[in-house]
Amino acid sequence: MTWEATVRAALAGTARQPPAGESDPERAVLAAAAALAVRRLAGWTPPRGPVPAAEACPPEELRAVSPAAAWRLEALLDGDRPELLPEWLELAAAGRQVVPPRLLPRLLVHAERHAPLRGAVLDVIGRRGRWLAGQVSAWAFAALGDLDQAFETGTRPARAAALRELRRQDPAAALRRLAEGWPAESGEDRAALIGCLQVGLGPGDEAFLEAAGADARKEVRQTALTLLARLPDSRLVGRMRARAAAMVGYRRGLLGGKLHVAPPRRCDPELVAGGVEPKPAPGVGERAWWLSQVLGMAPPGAWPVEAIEAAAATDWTATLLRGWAAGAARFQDARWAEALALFWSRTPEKARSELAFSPELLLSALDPPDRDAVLLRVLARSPADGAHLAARCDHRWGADVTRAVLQALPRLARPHADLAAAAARQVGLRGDPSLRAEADALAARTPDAPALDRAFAAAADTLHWRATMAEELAP
Amino acid sequence: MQWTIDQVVALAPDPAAARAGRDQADVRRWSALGRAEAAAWGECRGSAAQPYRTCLDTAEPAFGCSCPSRKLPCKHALGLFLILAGQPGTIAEAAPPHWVAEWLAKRAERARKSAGPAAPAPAPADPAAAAEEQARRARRRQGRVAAGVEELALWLADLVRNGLADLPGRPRQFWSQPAARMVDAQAPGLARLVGELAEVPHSGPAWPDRLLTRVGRLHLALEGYRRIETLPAPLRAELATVVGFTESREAVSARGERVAGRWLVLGRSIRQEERLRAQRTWLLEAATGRPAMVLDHAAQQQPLDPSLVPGTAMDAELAFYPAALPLRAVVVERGEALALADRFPAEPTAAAALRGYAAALAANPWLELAPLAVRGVLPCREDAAWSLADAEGARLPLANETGGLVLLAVSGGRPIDVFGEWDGLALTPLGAWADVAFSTIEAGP
Repeated sequence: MTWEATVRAALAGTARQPPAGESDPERAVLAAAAALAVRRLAGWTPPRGPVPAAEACPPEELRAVSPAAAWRLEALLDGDRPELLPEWLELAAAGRQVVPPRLLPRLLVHAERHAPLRGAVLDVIGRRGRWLAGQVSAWAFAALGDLDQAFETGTRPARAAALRELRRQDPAAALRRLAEGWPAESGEDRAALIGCLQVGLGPGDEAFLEAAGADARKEVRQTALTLLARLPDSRLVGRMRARAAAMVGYRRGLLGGKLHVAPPRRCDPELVAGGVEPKPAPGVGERAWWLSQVLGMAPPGAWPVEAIEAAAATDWTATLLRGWAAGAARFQDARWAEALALFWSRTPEKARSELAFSPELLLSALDPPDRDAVLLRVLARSPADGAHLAARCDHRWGADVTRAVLQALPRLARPHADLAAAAARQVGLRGDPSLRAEADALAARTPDAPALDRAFAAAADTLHWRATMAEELAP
Repeated sequence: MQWTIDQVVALAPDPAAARAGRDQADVRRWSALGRAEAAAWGECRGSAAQPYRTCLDTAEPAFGCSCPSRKLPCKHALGLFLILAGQPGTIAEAAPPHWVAEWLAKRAERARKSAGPAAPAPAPADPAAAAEEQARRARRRQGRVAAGVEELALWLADLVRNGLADLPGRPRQFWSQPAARMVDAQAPGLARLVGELAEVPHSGPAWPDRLLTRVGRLHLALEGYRRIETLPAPLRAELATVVGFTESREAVSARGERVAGRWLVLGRSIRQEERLRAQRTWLLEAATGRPAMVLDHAAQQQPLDPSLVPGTAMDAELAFYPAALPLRAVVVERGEALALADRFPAEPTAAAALRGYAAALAANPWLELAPLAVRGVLPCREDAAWSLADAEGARLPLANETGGLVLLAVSGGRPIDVFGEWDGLALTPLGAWADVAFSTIEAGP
C-alpha cells in the first residue's frame, strides 16, 4: 500500500471499503499507517529552488537603542501605556538611535495598524527597517529605499510618503518633480499628493498652489487654498488682508476703541477664488459667515488686541471672535492667541459657549514654547481655567507650566475634583519629568478623595516612568 | 556574567509577570539595597505592612522573596534583577544582612548535598516486605497498563473501521473519553497522545495526513508494548516513556548517562497540556553538537524552572534519561551562566540536518520534536509560505509567519544560523545567530 492509498482507506473506513485480501483489515491499515508515516517523515526531501538573490541590507549607520530601551519598546507594543509610544519614538529619533532588528516586525505591524504613527516610526527603523519594509507589501509605507523610484512607480500611499520625504530633503526640487507630472496625474492622485506640500511649505510654492486653486477637483482646490492661506506673504493673503481691513476698522478713543464693521453684501468672485465657501453653515447668517471666513484668512496682527474688547460692543461679536481666532491659529499669532485665551477666561462660564471659538484649538496651533507662555498667563489668572486648557494640550509641557499646574492642583481638588483628576493625568503624560519629585510630594500629601489620590499617585508614577524612559534613550 | 535586560526579562514566567516586574524595577520602591559578589538584595514596599525581603543569586540564577506570590521569580525578584541589570550604579556593594547570609548559606548547603553522594534512604523496618510491596504495586500497574493498551487498540480499530472522514464533526468527548480512560489505566503518555488528536481535524488542509501520522505512531506504541519484553533495552526504555512510565529525576541523576561540557542554551518553548504547562529547554554541547532537552512541568499557576536562559551558556554536567535516543536530561551540576559569545554547532546544509533527523527517527520512531540547527540559511517567502533556503537552494518550511519575519529582520538579507524544533513537516525557530550576536526568536503563533 502507498501512503496515499492508506489515507484513502482510513478516510473511507474499512467497514465501507475493506482492503482486498486482508483477514484483519483494520490492523492492516493501522500497520501500514505506522510504517509508512515514519518512512515518510524520515525520507522527506526538501523542495529546491533557486538560491534567493535578495539584496542584502547595507550596514546600519546609526546605533541601536540600549537593551533597556528596547525592552520598554516591547512593553509599549504589548499595550503597556501605549499612549507613551509616540514619545519613545521621538526620543529615540532625537538621539539618532534605531530599533534593534528583532523588534522591527512588531513595530512595523503596529505602524501598519496605526497610520498616524508612521512618520515617527520611519525615523527609528534605520536602514534595516526600510530594507525589511521593502520585502513586505503591507509595509510599503516604510519602504523608501529609492525615493525617486517610489514616487514614480509606487502605490498611491507610497508615492505620497515618498513625496513627503523628498520635500523634507529639498522642497524646491520635490515641487519640480511634482509639477512635471502634474497635468498627467489623475484626480485622485492629485488629491492625495497636493497635501504633501505642507511639508516644507514656503513662498516658492505659491505659483503652483495658485494654479491648483483652480483645479477641476474640489479637494485639490480646497487643499491648495488652505496651504496658500498659510503663506503670510502670498498674494492671496495680501488680497484677503485688504478685504478684511475694509470690512473691519478700529478707531482708538479715550474710553477704549470702537469697531466699524461692514460685512460683505455678497460673496463676490474674488472671495470665492480666495477659498471663501459661499453657502453658510446651518443657523449662521450669510454675511456673518463670509465675514468670519475673510477674517480667518487675514493675519490678525492688522488690528490691536484691544479690538477684542471692542468687539463686544458690536452686533457681530461671535463672528469677529470666530474669524480672529481662526486667523490667529492659521498665522500662529501668539499675542492674539494669548489675548483671546485671556478674554475667554474672563468671560463667565455660562457665557463662554457664545464666544464661538475654542481656546484649545487656538492653542494647539501654536508652537510649544508659545503655548506654554499662554498657558502660564491663563494659569496665573485662573488656576481652574489654566488646568482646563492644559489638560487638553497634548504637547510636552515645559518645566514652568508643569510646576504651575502641580501647584494649582491641590487648590483645585475640592471644588473641581474631575478637572483636577484630568489635569493630574495630563501632568503624568505631558508634564516635564524633571519635576517628578514635586509630583511625589503632591501624591504624598494628606489624603483627600481616594479617586483623586490615585490620580495624583498615577501621575507621579507616569512621570517617573517617562524619566526612566528618557534616561534609557539618552543619546 | 553581566546580565542584560533581555536575559532578565526572559526569566519572567509570563508576559504579565514581566510587566509587573518592570513596575517594581523602580528604585523608589526599594530600601536597603545591596550586593556582594553574585548576590543582590533589597526590601520592597508592597501592600503589606512589612516590606518584602527579596534576594537573588545571579550566578545560577536563583531567587528568594518573603512575598506570598507563587510565581518564580516573583515580581519583586524580577524588579530587583532588572534594577541590577539596567541601573547597576544604584545598588552599592555591601555586607549581606543576616537574612541574606542565611539564604545563601542554605543554598550552599543544598548544593553540597545534591553534589555529594545521595544520603542513604532510611532503612525500612522489614526490607523484604517493603520490596515485595513495591513489586506488587508495579505488577498491579503493569496489569492496568496492559488492559489499557488492549482497550485503546480496540478504539483505534473502531476509528479506522468507521473512517476518519466525519471526525471534524465529533464532539470533544469523542477524544477526551479515551484519554481519560488511559489516565485511569495509569498510561499518561498514551492519554496525551490520544488527547492531542482532538485538534488535528481542525488544523486545516491535509489534516487526514497529519492525523494518520499520529494514529500510526500510536498504533506502533501499542503493538510494541504488547511485546515489549522482546525489545532491546534502549528501545524498551523509550517505549516505556511513550506509554507514560517515567524515571524520577533522582534516579536519573544517580544512574543516568552523564555528559559534562559547555552547554549552550538555545531555545525554549512552552506547550499547554491538559491542566499543565510543559516547558522544553533545548541545549547543545559546544564541542560535539550533542543535543539535550530539559523538560519541566508546572500546573497552570505554578512557576516553571527559570534557571536555563536562552542565549546563555554554562559549564555543566547533564544526566540523560535512559532512551534509544537519549535527549531528555536533567542538569546535575552547573557553573554560572555565561554570555553566548560564539556561533553554535550546526549542520552545514538542510539535507545534512534532515539526515540527522532521519537517523534520530530510526532510533526513536515516536520522536515528535527534534532539535535542528542549520548553518548559513536565508529566510525567504514564496507564495505566502515562509522557509529557510540553504546554500544549495533547499527549502526548510517554517511553522509560522511571525518567526519568518523576525528571522528576516535579524538576517538583513545575509545567511544566518538557525536553531529550532523540527516536527517532521516544519521548523519552529527558537534562536538565531546573525551578524555577531544570538537572538532569541519568540515562538509566536
